[in-house]
Amino acid sequence: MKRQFATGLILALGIVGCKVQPTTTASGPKELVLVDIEKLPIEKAMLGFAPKVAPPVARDHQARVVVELEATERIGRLADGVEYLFWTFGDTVPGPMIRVRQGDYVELHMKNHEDSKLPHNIDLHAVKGPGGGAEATLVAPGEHKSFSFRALKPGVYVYHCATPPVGMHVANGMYGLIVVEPEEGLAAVDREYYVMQSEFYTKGNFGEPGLQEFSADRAMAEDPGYVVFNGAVGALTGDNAMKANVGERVRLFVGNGGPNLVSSFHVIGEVFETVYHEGGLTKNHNVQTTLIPAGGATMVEFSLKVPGDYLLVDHSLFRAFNKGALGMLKVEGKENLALFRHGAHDKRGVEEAAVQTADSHEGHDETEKAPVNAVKPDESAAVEVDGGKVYARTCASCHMPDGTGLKGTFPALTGSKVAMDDKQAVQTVLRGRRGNYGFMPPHGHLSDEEVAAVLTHIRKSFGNEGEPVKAEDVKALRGS
Amino acid sequence: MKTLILPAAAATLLLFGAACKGETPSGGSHAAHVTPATRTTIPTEATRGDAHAHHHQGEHAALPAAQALAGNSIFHLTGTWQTQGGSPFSLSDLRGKPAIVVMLYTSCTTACPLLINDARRLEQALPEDLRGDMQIVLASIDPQVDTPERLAEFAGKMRLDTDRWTLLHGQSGDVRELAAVLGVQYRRNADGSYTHSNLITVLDAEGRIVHRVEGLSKPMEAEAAAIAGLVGN
Amino acid sequence: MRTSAIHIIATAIMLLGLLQAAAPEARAETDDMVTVPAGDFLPFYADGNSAQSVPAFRLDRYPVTNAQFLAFIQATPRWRRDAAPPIFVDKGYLRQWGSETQLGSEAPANHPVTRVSWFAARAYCRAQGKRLPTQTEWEYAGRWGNTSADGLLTAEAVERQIRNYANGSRRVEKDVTTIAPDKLGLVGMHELVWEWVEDFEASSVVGGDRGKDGKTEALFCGGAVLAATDSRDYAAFMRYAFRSSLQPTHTLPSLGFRCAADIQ
Repeated sequence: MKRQFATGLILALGIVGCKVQPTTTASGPKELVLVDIEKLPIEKAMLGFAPKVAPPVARDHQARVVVELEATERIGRLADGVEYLFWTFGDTVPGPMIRVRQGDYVELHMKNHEDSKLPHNIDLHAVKGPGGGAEATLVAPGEHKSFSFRALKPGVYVYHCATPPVGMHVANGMYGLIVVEPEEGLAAVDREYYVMQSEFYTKGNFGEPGLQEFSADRAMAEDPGYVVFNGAVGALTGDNAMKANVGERVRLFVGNGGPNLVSSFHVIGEVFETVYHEGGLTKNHNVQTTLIPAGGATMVEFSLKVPGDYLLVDHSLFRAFNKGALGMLKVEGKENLALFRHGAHDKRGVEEAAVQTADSHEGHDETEKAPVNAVKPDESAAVEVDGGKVYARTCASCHMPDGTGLKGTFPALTGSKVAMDDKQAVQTVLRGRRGNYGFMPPHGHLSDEEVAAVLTHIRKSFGNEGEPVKAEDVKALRGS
Repeated sequence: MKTLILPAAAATLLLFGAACKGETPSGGSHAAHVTPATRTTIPTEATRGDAHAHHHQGEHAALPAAQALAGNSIFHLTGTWQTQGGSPFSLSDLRGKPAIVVMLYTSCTTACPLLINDARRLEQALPEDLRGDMQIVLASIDPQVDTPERLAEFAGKMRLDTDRWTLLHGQSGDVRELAAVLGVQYRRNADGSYTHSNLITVLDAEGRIVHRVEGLSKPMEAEAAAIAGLVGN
Repeated sequence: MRTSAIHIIATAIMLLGLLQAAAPEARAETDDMVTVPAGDFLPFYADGNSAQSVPAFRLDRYPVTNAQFLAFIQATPRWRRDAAPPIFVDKGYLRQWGSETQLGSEAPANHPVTRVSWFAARAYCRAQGKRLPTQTEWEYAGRWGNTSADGLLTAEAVERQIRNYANGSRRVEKDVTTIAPDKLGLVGMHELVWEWVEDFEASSVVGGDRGKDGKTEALFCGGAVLAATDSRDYAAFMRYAFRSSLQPTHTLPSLGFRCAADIQ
């Protein structure tokens, strides 16, 4: 799924990518000379579906780029067991990444699917012109419109639907990124990914199952049920995690669709070596957390030194751990204990430690291969509550779908003493727990049956073999 | 037909309302998107003043098959209008010769005089043979105020040659339908003024929209040349 | 600034209550139409901040159905889908019908007719001696009985309307007789299809978060910054935006109409 476009990328950028960086000197950026539209070669834009990016521009000249987008309204997955009626560009949230070169003449064709109930349009923040294209593209269901603009300013820009009620169209998923590369191109990197944060204002709270309606009240109160990366809880974790290798340089294009919240974007365990502040050309270096405004974007670059799992979060942390704003970059490669290790420096331990880590990686992969739903159902548990589903929507974002947790951040459930202890297990779920790893929030909103089912599930999964937990025991402990 | 209406309507949206502020937006590039209708040979006999039975609005003219109207002809509209002289007038009376059509209202003090001046400049820029054929129609969007008498008065004040210029008063429904096919948008404001598109439409002899001039006070030479190529002999 | 308008509306609502009580005889004369009593109405996008007075008028109880439109086509063959000229209808006109003169399985008789252009809808209404309602009339009737004391829609009503509008591709065309009437006796104003109004293009308020920086407001005469009078009424934003996306020849699968008439 996450193909290796690194090769193509390097080939593409090999020619233009390694040239001089875009220059913004005191005298200002160098002047853009526009080629007559009639003389431009016409090409169809290659779009990028998150987390894939659109391929880098391989041209050293301007072109007339034809972009085709279609607005749709369709029901999709927001979290496990939770559905939402998304309004989309290109049937995906976020909408496809558009990528052009500074000076290109972009011809944007906007279709609205015949089954749509509402009109839609597009406002691209890369446009210099009234409404960013909104007026020209307001399109009724089943119809088609277009507008054209010259991509004058390089940068990373948000596009979004701007049909009244604008906030609702954005809240339902209508946003994406358009990247305008400078004439010199972007510096070559090994991997690029496309990430977009946004919130969803569901009538029910996080995890409440079923088809969730949009709540205008919650949107106005700026109280989302979900804050997610790439349109759904888990869109960038588990099997969907982004992948890279030690020694590679990674670039993330990160947008924030909003519609309300500002993102404090952070990758746990990484330092952004370069941040293109607010998606512009001003570079900042060695940044831990960068602010991405609603309706704004950024571009961050970092080189990978140490293997492991790196979590993408909105560092407004309750959004990350309670509303879904988590993503993951899995980095494989050889340990470099000189750069990072558990414990104090130990010359002799270097090689052993490397072997150990490799082993644990093997084990990790194996547990990953056992899908959650392959676990044999527990006969004694009440049939109506599926512990696996409760786990998926309540626990998996931290303890991971395979129960392995995250070293140093979230404890693994495989072989967990707490999970195997009847009293501690129930109390931890109901009241939370403060441990070596930090703080786990209480989940007292789960019913006795749900707590029993999820604990039973944990005890029968992830290599564990334990006794089922009964709902009446949960009830007794809840009362105590 | 769609190709004609859609881009133009989108363009007029951009110009909507600048009229009353007397602004002079340039919307000329949009005209380039208008797809010219295919030119066809047409009867040279003008049908003006002949004894067509004009039913009330909604009864679309049933013409003999030999002269069937093009599907995108505005002559499918069959409301009965009144000229500044008080005589009945049907849009299909324009059939047989090209026409310039403008929608405005006489109490308008800023954009409308400019619009009339633009129509006049456009006409004058046309090649002489075409100018002789060209009919010019000003249809009022304000039927309550713009009675035939008022239109006659206005024609006098603006020194319009009423042999060539026809000012029309219509039922509000007919006005709305004409505006709809031309892509003119208008809206009555609380103070009785109107917000409206600044649009000059050129029809060929069969009532098909072949050209649009959008915006005010534009150079007319290129427009006239384009029109000559579309409806000229 | 808005208080005066709200006062007018509140008074109007009280008056309307009286008028409504006096209306039954008018309603009884034609069961297929409902009398909408006169009153004041604060438009969603107002020029200033004043309420508009709406004279009493009659409005079809139901949206026009496939069966009704078929009867019109049979009486007026020039509006058949193979005859109506493209200057009045685009190519989707009545496309869901089985044939030129048969409804077929996609167009049950009692479902609202859709895929009709503004021109076709007007022609239908004229043939009945009626007309399309104006936008103001439609909006005024459509919020009847759903306003709180300040003249604005109740939150519950807005929520219900949004739920009906924002239902994606799930088809909403239903048998018109299966919908419960509103307090005025109108059926399916918000539950079935979008409906044409006479002056739909007056909604051409194109939004966008850059509307305030100059150009968009120039769309309107006098530079009036058209602000919505009730920024919480998301359902109204949706209706007005929908209308402003339309061209008079459009024939959309979710768009129908009902007719209105003056009270002589």
